[in-house]
Amino acid sequence: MRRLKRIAERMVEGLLTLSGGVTSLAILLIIIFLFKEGLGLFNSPNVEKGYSLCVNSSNEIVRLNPLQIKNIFDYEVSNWQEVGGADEEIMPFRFDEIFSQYSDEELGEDYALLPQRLSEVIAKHPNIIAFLPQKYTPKDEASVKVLPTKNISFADFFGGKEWLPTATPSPLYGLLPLLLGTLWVSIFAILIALPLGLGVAIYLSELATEHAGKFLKPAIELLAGIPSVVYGFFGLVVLVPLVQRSLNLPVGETAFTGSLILAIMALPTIITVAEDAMRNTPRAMREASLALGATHWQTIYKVVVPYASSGISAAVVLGVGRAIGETMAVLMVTGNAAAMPRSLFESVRTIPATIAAELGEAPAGGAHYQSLFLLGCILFVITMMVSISAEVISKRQYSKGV
Amino acid sequence: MIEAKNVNFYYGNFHALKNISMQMEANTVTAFIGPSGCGKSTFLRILNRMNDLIDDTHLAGECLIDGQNIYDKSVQVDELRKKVGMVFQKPNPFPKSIFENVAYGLRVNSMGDKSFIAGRVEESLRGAALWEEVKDKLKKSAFELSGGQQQRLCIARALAISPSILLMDEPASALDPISTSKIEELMYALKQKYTIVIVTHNMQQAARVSDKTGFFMLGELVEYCDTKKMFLNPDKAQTQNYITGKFG
Amino acid sequence: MNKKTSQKVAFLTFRLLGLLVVGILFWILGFIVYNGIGIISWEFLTTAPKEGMTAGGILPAIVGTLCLVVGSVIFAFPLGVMSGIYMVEYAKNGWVVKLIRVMTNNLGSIPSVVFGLFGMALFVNTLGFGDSIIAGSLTLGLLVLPLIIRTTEEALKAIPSSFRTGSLALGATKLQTIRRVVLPMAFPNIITGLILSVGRISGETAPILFTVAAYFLPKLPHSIFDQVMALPYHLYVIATSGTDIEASRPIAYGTALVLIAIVLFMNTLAGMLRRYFGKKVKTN
Repeated sequence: MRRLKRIAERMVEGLLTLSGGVTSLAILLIIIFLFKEGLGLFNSPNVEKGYSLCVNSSNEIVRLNPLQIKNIFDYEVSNWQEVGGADEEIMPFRFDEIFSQYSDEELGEDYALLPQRLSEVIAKHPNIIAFLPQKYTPKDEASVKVLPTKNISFADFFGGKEWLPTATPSPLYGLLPLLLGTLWVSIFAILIALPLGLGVAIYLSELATEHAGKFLKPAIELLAGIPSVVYGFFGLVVLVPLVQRSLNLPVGETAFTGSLILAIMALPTIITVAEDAMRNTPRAMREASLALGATHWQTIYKVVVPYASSGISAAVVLGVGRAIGETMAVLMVTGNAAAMPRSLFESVRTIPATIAAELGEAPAGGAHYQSLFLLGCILFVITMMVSISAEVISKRQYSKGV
Repeated sequence: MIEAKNVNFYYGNFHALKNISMQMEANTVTAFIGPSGCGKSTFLRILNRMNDLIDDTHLAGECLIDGQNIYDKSVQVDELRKKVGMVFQKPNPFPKSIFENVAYGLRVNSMGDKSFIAGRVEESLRGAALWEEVKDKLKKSAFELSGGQQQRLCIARALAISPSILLMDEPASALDPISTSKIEELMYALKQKYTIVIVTHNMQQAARVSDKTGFFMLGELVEYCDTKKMFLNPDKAQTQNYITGKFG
Repeated sequence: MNKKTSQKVAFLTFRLLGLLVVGILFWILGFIVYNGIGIISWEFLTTAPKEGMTAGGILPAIVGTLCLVVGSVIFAFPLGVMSGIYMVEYAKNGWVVKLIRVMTNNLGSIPSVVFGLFGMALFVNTLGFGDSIIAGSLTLGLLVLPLIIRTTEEALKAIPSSFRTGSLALGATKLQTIRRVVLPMAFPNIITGLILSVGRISGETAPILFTVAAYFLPKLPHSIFDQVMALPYHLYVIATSGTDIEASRPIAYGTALVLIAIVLFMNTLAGMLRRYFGKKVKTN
């Protein structure tokens, strides 16, 4: 009986120990799944899967990068010279054009003659570039040169300035516009929220009567509790028209609007952390300052705020972290144009918003899907760094206190 | 009977008890006195292995209760603590009813059925001289009692599981003089059935309640003898100095 | 400027900033209550959306959110509490505990959309649950796990160790001590964590986008492998991509009001509980 009880206890304690590791396990799984899918992007060809690009064998071009391909098929580049070839006009050729040049009979039963016809077309035009399904690509034809496809490279992703994941023939996965959009919106949000939050934190820790604190603290807690989709909705129906009208902009969905909403959302974090830091200032320090004839306000900005500076820095870092990861509110108010941000008053798109907006349309396992997971990895790494640095910064305050 | 043989105890690198050897007879009251930090409480907590709860501690030597080394691997700590009850410096009743506080030890050790528990609870409360004061409010929260009553409740709680030894760590230091004298009377009565070891910083208390007294200083047992002798004619000068209030 | 005046100016500014924060809160809440209260009716709460979500009610979304709350709590609450117990009562202060604590903090700081990605990769695709209540609940459960662990830890640490030693000295085992003394005392504060996480779960959108939420699904779910609508996602949909955004605006206000009411009720309840029991523990 007693023995049985002891065994049962051991089992429960074992269970407790196992559950202690659950968060570590969760993080490990998140890392594994995110990076497994995300890094798959670098094994994807830079031309849409199952297709290839062919040129006339007289063309001296050996390879094209995704951006060049995209520009050619968008008619933004029209001369081979511009991409390193001879001075000749480029003739982009998409697969379906073949059906307007040849009748069904000429293409043969089950399109058996299609590759042959395609090679005729390519042979006829020395300046052509054809985007063809691999299935019908002419093989072993002297007149046709198939351009080698390369896998998407780190440089394409991390250095790319365009995010066009659904472009054909060559989708572009450039991180920069999204990363800059994210930082742009978040940092500006903190610039708005910091003075405000710091002021409220000073008020709460130094000036507020118990009564006022009892009223303000729950208000801040409520502000932290409002779901982000409600902030987004509020931003959409109130701030967007407001920003558009008062600043006389063509659209109200701008980086600035996103920053405003994020500033409100980051306020509770900044206030709470900064207030805690200031409350930790030793009484003796304040009294020493007051005893030397400093006013309360001088004591605050000459003693309390400097003493709490690392706590305040931690508050800023945590606020930035919260803003960088915020999804729904930003998705709803920034307009989501995936271009390099130029001004605060233009539409931008952030990393989380991109994931939320595009994952639903990206077929599982495809390059687009993988690219969104890679964005997730970037987000994960950034927020990890943020949370670790916040921890390091606030630790420093404690050691300074000793 | 309790016997310590060359007990050494360390908190990390700090050598808290140095070569303690002593015997405590059954049905006596033994008091430990000494300046704070001298190791008297640490030694008391060795007797029911309460120090096991503190990380990074280490014991060398032997401690025997009725001939059995309580630090032997075969000893189950909870069984030992059932036999060696303890009362703490500050009363620490659980946030439960008076009845449930006393019944707690019986329940966790699965001792007896309902009627047995009810009987034991009354018996223990009588034993701790608390029954008359609380018999009409057994269902009330233990926090409604006064400090002295709470401490006697903690004694009743310890008595309920029929220990043979009762350890008391400054049991009256948080109490007023009237409650203190009640606890002291109680100790005198309890001596008939239990072996009592008490730590106290109050020398008069040690003189009043104990049969034998041990004087600790800086982790060493300086002197251990009959209480009368200790207070009238101690062997060591250190003891004399402490008792006459020259330091500590 | 003399130092007395500068103090006056500064303090006045801080007071105004404090007022501003309260003002922002009332602006947001007032706006949504003012515009949403008109549409709230018994019918709105108990019927399915009609006519391309421009009319009718939001019952499926309420039920869906309820399912997700129950599902994730069933998963995360026991696990989180057990983990918290391990951290406070069992774990020795070594590098393992430090690692676990860092991991818990970090899990809490991961953006919710990343949980969505992870939930989709693991629960929806790898484990083959598809878009379903179970996939969504597990994802949301992971999201609130750090919150539950942290409140449990704090609740347990607030119990003075004298109660533990008191119980151990009576021959109780460690587990008996935790079950009979420590947990009952810490319970109210642990429940606070539970209530807070219910509020959090009901409001989260990004984690359920790809794991459970349905754009439009007037049926109620039959099993844990069904998709459901959910309040926050429904609000997102009718605010940004409904069939007729202008016509469905009143419904959007109503949905936002219901959502905010649930979340704020939970937060206020948790806050009150904490303050009430916080006082009670101190007076003992």
